Amino acid sequence: MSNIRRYELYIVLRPDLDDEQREAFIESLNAFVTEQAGQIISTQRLGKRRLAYPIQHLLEGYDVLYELLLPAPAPNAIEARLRLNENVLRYLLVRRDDLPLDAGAVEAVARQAEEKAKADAAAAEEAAAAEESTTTEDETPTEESESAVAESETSEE
Amino acid sequence: MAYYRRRRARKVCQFCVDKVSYIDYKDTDTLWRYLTPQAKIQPRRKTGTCAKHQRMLARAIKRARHLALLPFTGDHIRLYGSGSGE
Repeated sequence: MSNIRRYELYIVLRPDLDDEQREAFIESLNAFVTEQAGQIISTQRLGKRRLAYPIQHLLEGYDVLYELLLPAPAPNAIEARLRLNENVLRYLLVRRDDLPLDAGAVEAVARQAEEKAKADAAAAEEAAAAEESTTTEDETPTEESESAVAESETSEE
Repeated sequence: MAYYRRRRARKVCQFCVDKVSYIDYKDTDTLWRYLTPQAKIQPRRKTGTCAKHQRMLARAIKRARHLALLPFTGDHIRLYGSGSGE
């Protein structure tokens, strides 16, 4: 399947984070990408830079650049996550179809994505099963009342 | 004779000359060359860029603006107004 593509992710972080916070953010994002069955080709800390215009009254930003290999649903998940993070002033996740794909890496990502899809399906099934057990509990009294109605009907005949 | 005007030499697209296949939004030095002093995107008729590369260029500039790599307007306008209005 060719739903695996190269992406480029540019993140502008708040300039007032200390090194520890910044590394923690990068670390957690790395973990998230791996969890989404993606592969990190490269990470670059471009460092502090003056913004072309103020964002949230800040005049500087700290730039981080990723090159990624992601399976189909991962970009949405990553964007959703970045959108919610207050330390991210701006982000840009774009496809880079102009760059060559490494066939071996694509295969590895495909395998992982498949595994993840299986695990997700299993989890969804489990959740559905759990849901069903609660709904059946709710349904039992109505079934009883229905049978009671049926009994009364038969008794009338 | 009176109407004679010298034809200006036809400009060629710089990106075509360089055989560019992707215009990078991170390459702000290049992008700056295609902005007016007000930080607007220059028209094709001024720069000679071909249609294909103009589209790529516009996209790259807009991406760069989003990341505050390039301004939306020149500082002199943002800070002191454009002179119209109030």
